[in-house]
Amino acid sequence: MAPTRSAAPPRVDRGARRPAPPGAGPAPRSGRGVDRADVQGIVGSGYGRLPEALFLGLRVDDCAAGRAFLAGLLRLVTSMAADHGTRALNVALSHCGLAQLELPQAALDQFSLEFAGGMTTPTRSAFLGDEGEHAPSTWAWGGPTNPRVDVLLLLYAASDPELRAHTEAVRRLVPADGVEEVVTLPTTTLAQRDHLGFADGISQPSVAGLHGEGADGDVALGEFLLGYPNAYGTRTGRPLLPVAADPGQLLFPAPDAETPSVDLGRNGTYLVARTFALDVTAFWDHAHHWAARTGLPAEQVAAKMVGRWPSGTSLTVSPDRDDRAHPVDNAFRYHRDGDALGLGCPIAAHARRANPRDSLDPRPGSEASVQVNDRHRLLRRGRQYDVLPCDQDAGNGTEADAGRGLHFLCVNANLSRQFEFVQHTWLNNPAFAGLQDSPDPIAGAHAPDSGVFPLPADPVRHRLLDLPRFMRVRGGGYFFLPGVRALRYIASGPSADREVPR
Amino acid sequence: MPEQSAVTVLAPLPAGHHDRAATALADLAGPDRMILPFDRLAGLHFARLMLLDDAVSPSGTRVGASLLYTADLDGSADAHLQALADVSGPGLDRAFSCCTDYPTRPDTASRTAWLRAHRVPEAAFYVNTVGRGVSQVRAEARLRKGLEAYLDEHRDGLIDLPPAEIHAVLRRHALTDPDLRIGVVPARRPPLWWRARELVHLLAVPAVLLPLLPVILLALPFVAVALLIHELRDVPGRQRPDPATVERLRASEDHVAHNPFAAVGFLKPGPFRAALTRTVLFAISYAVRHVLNRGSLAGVKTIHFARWVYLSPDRMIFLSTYDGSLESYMDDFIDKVAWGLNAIFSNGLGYPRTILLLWRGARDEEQFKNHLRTHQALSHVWWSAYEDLTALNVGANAAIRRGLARRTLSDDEARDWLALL
Repeated sequence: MAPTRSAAPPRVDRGARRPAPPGAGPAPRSGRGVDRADVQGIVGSGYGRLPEALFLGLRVDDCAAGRAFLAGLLRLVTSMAADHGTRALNVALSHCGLAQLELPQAALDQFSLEFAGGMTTPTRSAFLGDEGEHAPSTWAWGGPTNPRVDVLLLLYAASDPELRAHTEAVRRLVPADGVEEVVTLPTTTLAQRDHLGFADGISQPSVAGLHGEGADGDVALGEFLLGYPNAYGTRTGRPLLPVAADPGQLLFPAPDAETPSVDLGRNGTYLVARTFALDVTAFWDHAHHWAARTGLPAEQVAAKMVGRWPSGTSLTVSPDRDDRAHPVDNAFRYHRDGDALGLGCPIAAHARRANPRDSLDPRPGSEASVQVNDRHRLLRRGRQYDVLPCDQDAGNGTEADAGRGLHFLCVNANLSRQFEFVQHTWLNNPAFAGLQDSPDPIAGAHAPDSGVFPLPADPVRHRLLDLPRFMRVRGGGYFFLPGVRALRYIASGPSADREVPR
Repeated sequence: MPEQSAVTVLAPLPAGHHDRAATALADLAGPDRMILPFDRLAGLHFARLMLLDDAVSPSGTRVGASLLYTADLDGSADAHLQALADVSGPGLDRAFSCCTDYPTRPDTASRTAWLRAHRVPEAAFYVNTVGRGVSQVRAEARLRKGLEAYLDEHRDGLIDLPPAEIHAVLRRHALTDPDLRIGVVPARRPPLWWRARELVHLLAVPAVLLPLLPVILLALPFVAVALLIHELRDVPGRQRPDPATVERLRASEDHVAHNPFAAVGFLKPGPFRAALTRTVLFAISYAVRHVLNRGSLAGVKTIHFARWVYLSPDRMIFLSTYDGSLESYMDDFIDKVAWGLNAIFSNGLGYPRTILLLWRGARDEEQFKNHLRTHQALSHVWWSAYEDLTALNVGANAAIRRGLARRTLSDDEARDWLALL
């Protein structure tokens, strides 16, 4: 969730970049590796050095105004290559937003079905567990009763005054007519611990070509960026356009197309946004209640549900106590390191289900198991919040908690195999890894006060019964996070022969 | 008799009756569910009714729509059809009355006869664990629940005992509870005659094939070359599934622990593919009967039952009941048994390109997933005898019973056994 340790800026090759504004000039016709000037910075890092953030949702009612707005934003957009100032801005677009900007239908149709349908279609809500008081109709933003969000802006800054100035500069670009800010999502200053009191965002996949030179064990680049080979060695489907649709040669050629095409998806990816209100008091009440019943310390019960100690230390590495002196370990594996039964980290724990490492078939404990696991990874980029201004219905949490929560953001190239799979098959699934009636204790969808949390112990396990729901879904959406050139292309319209204002 | 059988009833639908049948099935899945009381049929694991849309074969002939009833059950298929006709006459009438030869004044005997007359054979039938009947599955689920509840209640008094003693306490508790008593005796093994028959089949097939081995080996290089030529000429489908169709399929998925899956398609034309398909199905049939019959279909442990059926000599349907979402099912296929899928499904029209039958194919993730979704058929009416249980759950519950049924365990054995709870 919120990036902490792992959010350090990645190594960036700054030397070879031309000084031109990002995405200007014809796209290179060939070239290996990632063009970091074309990838939006949020893919490479969570901007850990910029502790302040604000997310804005805008509705586009007029295509020309929308394009002019995007064109104006371009010079502020932060690419991976330019991820070093005191401000950052990234731009994501919903499928509706792309349609409002009059991207050709042929291009709209080639996006993934999940993105095109959106997060709030009834079958998708059922699949993700967004039902009952989590249903989109109850959301504070992104639901059918809320204003449509066509453009999602992610603003980051080094300090609060800096963020205010940054926001001011962005808002000045919003045209008087045709584009309207409809959602404002402030965040809390980036902290070491999340609202529950746990270090978070520790386990992030290391991506070949993004964070390193493709070390052994890295996840394929195509899992997080469109246009590159994914974990199966193929390129995930994305909008490819005939060369004639790109007279300005803004876009990269598509190597895998049957006819000469340019790649609107290249260096882009999908951004999942989910807002979760968090009932911190209910979480700790539950931990204390079961601490009294089991005789374990409350902190340990809570840690067992989370899957790590508050400091971030792994329960598999240090089963009995939070070892603050211990460096936070992210190289461990559950089966290989002797925790197959979950006596250290329970199988049902949140962190273990969100990333089971070597826990699942084929052959738990093997490299093959890790390889299959790595086809379901997410780059998490979320931030926490104290207040959700658009929320008229924050009454679920206890008084002290009203409004606290997490803006979960994650980046992935295949919504179905990555984000949706993790949410449905690992977190929500009460039968995950052979369990019975055990959804994820923190992030799983289940009826309130139903579901059990088995806490393995020798010789007889504990079971925490009547699991409440500590998280309530308050908003969300699927967005396309285009490459910088693709953003320029979208801003300039399909007949990209017009001069784009800089 | 605890051995599992398959029933497949295929009834052609006269032209013009498609919509009427669709309405009937929608009613039977919804408001009229009660007139198809599958829960009254002992030994029935899963049942479904589906309407197969009409299609045009690669040679251009039109194939009409048809109705399909399938069931996975314990015991004999004939007895099941009789019982089905017995308890769900109105339901059968509702579903099948648009079929031309359906009895005009149906009674149990004529319905049974009609169902039997429309049975078609399965080319291969996979059972997750042969011999485990519905009543056993349910009893073992109750057993687990009972033992878990006992441990919740009495944990404090047990943890200082040696593991073997905890096992003994649980065994004594099970004996006092009529609901759990079944757990102290092992599940019944299949009868001797049945095991003998399986053994004979296990040995007879290789014995018959052995003399042919030199011929097979000599022919193999020629078959491989012919196969490569065919594969080069194959045209993989590039079609993406229609969003509205996917939405309709999704609406019927992921309501309980498992899902019904069905995929229909034409075989690639020509005698070579026809013969290859028959050969592969024969091999699958042998493998699932004797080797892959203990909880895992070549590494995939989420399938309860599966079958392949010829709808006509050039058109097949694959049906299965699997745990979790279709996405996870397809990922399992690709990650764990892509070669096996390729071997059979690459004989179907439009399948992603394979190399020598086993390679590539399903590994072309996106094309494979698009291929499955575009060939998927809706299971209009579907019923499960144990909605909340995955195949792994069923297997774990059986292991709990196996342990409890042993009079004594060593401490080490008991510790491993207690970890199941």
